[in-house]
Amino acid sequence: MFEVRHVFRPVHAIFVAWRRDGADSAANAPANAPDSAADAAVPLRALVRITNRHETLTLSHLRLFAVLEADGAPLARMPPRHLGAEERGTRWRSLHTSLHSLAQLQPRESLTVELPLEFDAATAAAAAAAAFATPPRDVRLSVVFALALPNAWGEAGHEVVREQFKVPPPPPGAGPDPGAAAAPARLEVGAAAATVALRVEQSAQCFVLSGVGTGGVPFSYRVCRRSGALALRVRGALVVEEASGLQVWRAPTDNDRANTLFSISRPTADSIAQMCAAAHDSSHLTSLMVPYAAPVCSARRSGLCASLCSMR
Amino acid sequence: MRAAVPPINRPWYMRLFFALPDRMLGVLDPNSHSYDDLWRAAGLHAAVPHLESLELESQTTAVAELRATYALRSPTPARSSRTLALHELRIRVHADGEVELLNEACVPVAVPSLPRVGLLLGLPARLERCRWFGLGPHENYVDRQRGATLAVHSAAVDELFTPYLVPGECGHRGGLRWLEVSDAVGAGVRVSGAGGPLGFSLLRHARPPLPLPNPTGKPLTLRPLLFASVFRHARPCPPSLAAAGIVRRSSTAQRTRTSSSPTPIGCG
Repeated sequence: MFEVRHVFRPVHAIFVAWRRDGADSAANAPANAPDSAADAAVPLRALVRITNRHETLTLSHLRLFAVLEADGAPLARMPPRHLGAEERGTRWRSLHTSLHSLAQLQPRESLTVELPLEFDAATAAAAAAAAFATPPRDVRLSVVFALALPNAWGEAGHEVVREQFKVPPPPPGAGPDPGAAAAPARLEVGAAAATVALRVEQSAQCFVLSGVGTGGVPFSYRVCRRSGALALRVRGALVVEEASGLQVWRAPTDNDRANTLFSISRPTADSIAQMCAAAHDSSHLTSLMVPYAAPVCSARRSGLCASLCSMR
Repeated sequence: MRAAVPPINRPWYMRLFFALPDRMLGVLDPNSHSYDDLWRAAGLHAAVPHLESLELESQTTAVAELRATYALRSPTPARSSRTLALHELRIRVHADGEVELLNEACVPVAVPSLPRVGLLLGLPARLERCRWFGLGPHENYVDRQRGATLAVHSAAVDELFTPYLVPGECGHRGGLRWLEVSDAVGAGVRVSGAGGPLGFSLLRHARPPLPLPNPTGKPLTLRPLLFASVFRHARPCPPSLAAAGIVRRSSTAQRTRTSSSPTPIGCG
């Protein structure tokens, strides 16, 4: 249902750009938008264009919040705000109008707003420091609209729209000082210097590679010489069993069963005859190009063609 | 002023026809075969790996590398000579416990598409929780990823199964950066892609994967099987293979690497 909800989402949002507090932001702000002390405290703003796709409703029944994540770790967020309850002149300030105007955004109309993102020092300082110290690979901004109040079909807080954008990293200086909160030392696999040498034992049955891993965890990996099966044990317990290897099959779906290739490739009678003739001349039936359709295949002696023709 | 348009301006009548979807058209065509037909005719549904070679390539105190070559063949004797796929797996074990699995595969079966190509890892039944950084939370195939969110998701293994009315392939999730599968105390395995996002499905199967009669009468333990779509780059099969006559036509040949860490994931 998630994808259905996304397809039918009543609000569209598109990330436009980052905007920091400063001359540009102030110049674009409406003249009647008050500059409060709280505004100045917000270091980072995301310009987002929002379109109301409702047919009859404004957005006043929704509440809006946003989350900025870097490589999956929360970096900054905008707390949930009930659009209908916000008043003009609060901490919200849009590019062209106020939050009140966003709440009253008419059906099928669009508006570009600034979403203030606050860095949560308690939870995100470490992540932010790490993200700003080394450029994150993947920065995503999520904009979420939820029901502000319960209605006939949903409870308060029911998520109506979730839009996520891959965005460029925030401009330098927008985040907290990387030195202010040192990121916790992440115990990366492979980052710690191994203190015990890797042992490799060979027998007639298997290879056994063992050692002491990160954190002093003993491991033992076994590869069977006869079958090539791989079994990984950590602290003596299996974590990967021997049923491993290349997989080229999956359970078919109804599309696989009922969808024919008729519309994809319809070989002519000549092309099918050529393919079948080539198959009978070849000793490598494994590489036979499987006929997409075999209605006129006259050479049915080969195993592959016979199996196909018998499937009608 | 716009002219008034009646809301219903056509007479009502009973309809006995609708625009046929492609699957209906397929059923009506008696002379064509489905993907499933072709895959089964090629023997992909019953491919069994056979070890061709296993060598210790290199060994130091810090890292050792094994090189294994497998050939996937049909278990049917008449077809057992057919090589459905060649798989070269380099198992690189580091002294700190990290395992790198470098895969290269050649699938010389010329069908218009392949069901899937990836790496299957059997996991013990006690690993029942998973946490992943990728697209989710719902299953998302390539045509269903716009509605998914890239974030750190968590779920029980049993929750990754989608109970369709007609059982079939399900549960795939794409955009995977890393995946942790753990037991009740938080110990388990972490799998991550070394060169880019992966896709995965983690579903419980009886062992062997296809259900078999259970003569013991004891309830079967359903073990999770982790499938990782580790192959990303397609290219023609190596000339050496083609020259050997094994491959006349290759559908895919991919190379990538996957690393799995057996360290307790709580410290990751």
